[in-house]
Amino acid sequence: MTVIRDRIAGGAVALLGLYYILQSLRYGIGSAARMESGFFPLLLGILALGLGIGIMVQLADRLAGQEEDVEKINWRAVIMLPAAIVAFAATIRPFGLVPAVFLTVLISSFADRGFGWKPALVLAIFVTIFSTLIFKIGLELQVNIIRWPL
Amino acid sequence: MNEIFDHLALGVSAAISPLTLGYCLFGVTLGTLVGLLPGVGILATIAMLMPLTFHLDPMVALVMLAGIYYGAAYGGSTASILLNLPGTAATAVTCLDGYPMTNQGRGGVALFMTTIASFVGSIIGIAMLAAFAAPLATAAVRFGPQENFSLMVLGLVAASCMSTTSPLKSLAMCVIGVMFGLVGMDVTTGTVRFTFGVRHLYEGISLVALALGIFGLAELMKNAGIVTSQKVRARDITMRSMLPTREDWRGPGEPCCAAPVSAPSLARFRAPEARSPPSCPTRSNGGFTAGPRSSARAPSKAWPVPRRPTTRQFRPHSFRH
Repeated sequence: MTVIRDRIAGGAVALLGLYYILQSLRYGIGSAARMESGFFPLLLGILALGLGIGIMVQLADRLAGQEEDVEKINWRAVIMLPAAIVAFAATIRPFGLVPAVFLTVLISSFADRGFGWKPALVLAIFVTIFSTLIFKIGLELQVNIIRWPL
Repeated sequence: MNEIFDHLALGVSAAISPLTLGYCLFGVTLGTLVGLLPGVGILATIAMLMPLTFHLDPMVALVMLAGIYYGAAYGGSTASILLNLPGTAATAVTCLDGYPMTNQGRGGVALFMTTIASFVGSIIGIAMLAAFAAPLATAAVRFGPQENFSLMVLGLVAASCMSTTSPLKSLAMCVIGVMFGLVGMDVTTGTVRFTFGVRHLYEGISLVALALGIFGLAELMKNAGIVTSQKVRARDITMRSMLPTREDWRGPGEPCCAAPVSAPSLARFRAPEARSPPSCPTRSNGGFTAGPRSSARAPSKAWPVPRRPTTRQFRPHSFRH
């Protein structure tokens, strides 16, 4: 599995480098004495492309045969945690701190399968209270505690 | 030389009064508490706590602000060690070695060593600054783009030697980091690069967001549903658990830290690389925390030394989240 992982990782690095190379051509290269904004990205892109291919080829070959436990991807967490962050970003401005924190904690607690409804609610309520105390009352951040925009 | 001691004595005589020290303690405590919150960096902490010093005598206010500064810098390392959540780019290194120690149930030792190391590092940094500020200033003025660039490359390559897996991978890591750093408006030409037209990216990728995403979120995704018991329990960190073992003491930090151009992050990355032979993977966690912290303190003292604002660290990015 390590081999596959290294191939994927190296491929990703190489692709990123390729993108930088192509993109930097659009920004204009210039010369070393008179650089335009594409010069440095071009160099980096070439470096990344080379390194990525190197990782794909050399490393994968050297490690071929070595097995490593690859953890199963926890899709629940991969989906729920970013969703919680998006929820925070979406609610903090229109609705204020309390609903945003509450939603964030509630959603992110779904990332853990063993977490039931009730502990999640209790946790969300407590974290909301504490973060309101710390950030609004303690540090006086410029956020609304709670509001209704409609 | 005598002049330096006279000035230091004057400063000490002014600062040592119960009232000033009290405010200093107050500032350090508050700064540590706020700095503990992941994602709240030193600058943000100072900005939030600044109003507390408004009614004070200027000298006392400065002492308290210094306390807040150090408290915040120190508090960030606690979150890094216990939770693997770096508050600033500079404490990211503390994650690398501090958090594994927590996993081994030795978080107390990591905390203790960070404390001692940052204290010793601060003192050395202050002494170095007092002794070398004037000569450093002349050297700093002569630091041109070439020197800056070379130092950066040195730092990045050195950082990539830190990893124990494969130099190719860690070099790729550095290159990708620099590539991410290019996002936003080009400083010299004003061209907007790699933003996909998103206006929020014009000033670059926020360092806090990136660090939290890579270190914090990834760790959470990995552990959600797998870690059943808490790794850190308050009662596990007793006074006794903080005593380092004999092996923990081995290995010094690194004295190279007062280079006026290098940002704290760079010096912090320099320290572990110097004393980590890739051949000691198991115990290598032991001495690590002390290195980056102590050498990290020195530049945090040294950054008031005049230098060109070429590094991005001190742009007030951390204010925005």
